[in-house]
Amino acid sequence: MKNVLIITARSNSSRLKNKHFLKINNKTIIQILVDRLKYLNNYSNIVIATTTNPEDDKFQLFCKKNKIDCFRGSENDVTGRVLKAATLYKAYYITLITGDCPLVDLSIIEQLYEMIKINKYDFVTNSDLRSYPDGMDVQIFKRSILNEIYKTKLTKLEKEHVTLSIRRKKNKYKFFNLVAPKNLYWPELAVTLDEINDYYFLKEIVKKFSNNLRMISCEDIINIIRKNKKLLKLNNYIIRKGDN
Amino acid sequence: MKNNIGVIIEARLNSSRLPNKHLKVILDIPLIVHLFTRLKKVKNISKIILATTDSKRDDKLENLAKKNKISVYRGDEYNVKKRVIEAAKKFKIDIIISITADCPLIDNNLIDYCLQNFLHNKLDYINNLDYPGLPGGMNCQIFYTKTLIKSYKLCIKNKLNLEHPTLFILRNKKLFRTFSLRPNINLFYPNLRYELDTIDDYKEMKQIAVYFNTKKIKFSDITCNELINYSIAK
Repeated sequence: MKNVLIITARSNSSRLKNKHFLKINNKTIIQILVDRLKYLNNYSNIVIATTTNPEDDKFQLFCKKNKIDCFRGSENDVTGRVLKAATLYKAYYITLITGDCPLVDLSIIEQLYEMIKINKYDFVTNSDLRSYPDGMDVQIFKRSILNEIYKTKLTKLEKEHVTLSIRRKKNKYKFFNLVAPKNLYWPELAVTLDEINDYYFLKEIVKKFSNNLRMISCEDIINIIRKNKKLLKLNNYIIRKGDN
Repeated sequence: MKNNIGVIIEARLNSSRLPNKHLKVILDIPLIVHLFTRLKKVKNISKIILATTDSKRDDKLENLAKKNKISVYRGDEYNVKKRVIEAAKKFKIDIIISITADCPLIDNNLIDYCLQNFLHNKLDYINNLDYPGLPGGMNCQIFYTKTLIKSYKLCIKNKLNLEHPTLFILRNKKLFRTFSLRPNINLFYPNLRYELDTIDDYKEMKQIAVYFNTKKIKFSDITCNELINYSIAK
């Protein structure tokens, strides 16, 4: 049962263009993310699913250099793009990560993967209802259910947000949303890259973390911020775009 | 209508390996009382019930519970399933958090975590005891009383199912909406155990109590994380 890690990313983001190629300590955001994800076990491929726009050629180059796979598809039908990528790489499970969450906690990805496998569920996530910080979002689901729902008529919004159509009918599925334990519960915190001030914020966190970035966990980030509350002023005014 | 949530502790003194184990004393307090103190910290519950047997021997447990303002139900020694159902019915509990008294070190934060996930996902049953996973002694199971009653009706002729109240639910996942939580890697220590089965377990718990006492941490406040760090350092 192949588990394919799919990262969605495109340069033409409305709020911060080219954000995945901003650098922290001489490493681009997308590089930080991919380097970290490579430490995971239990996956068959890492695929960046980007658009066919020429400006996204740089993702293809990046993938080649890093020996991971690149899939190019529709800009606006992200659902279709992810499904086609997953089909090409024969995924049984899709683990969906967004390119703007470079510090997503690897241990949460592993934990959710264990849960979907052991319970034989269709969909396991920690971000349907937010309890973990924004930027820790992981969604793991069977390709078959995305395939099935894609055959129905999806709205524009449902094509833009890959799993929205499934989450709107979650009672139909074996669906589980993990609520964070008390020590990781901080839904208002954003460790994601939407605007330029998020970038300064991420930079500060990375700077304060002296060990290998692979090891950085959600708990570490929360501890860093608790000790440096001023950091929050950098980006806590930003209103996040949801899909509901 | 709001559901009434209660903790039900299964306990009896007639254990073959370590008789009267729940009365064994640590820092001048019986272990079962340490467990009561711990469970009182669980959030969103309306009642804690000790479900013990109607054998004379367990009078002592009843007395200790009452002294600590814990409700008591006494029922069949071997048909534990029936005992738990009757206890829930008597105290009008809709959602049962099932704990065994062999786990006096169970981390109440883990119970809160299970409960939040149970409620949010509208499940019939949840547990955190899939092996390999958490250290032994951190186990809890949460389910609706009506789920347990339904499973009771379906398995009434099977003795094993009556002794282990939730076995039938676990083995019939198509009939019930169940989920097993997996621990995060920082709590994944299946080789550690903090259960009270033997005299050696008791001695070990005594050492744990003394160690944390010198750090001014009460026996009933020690977390799973702290126990793991203690065991690794040893």
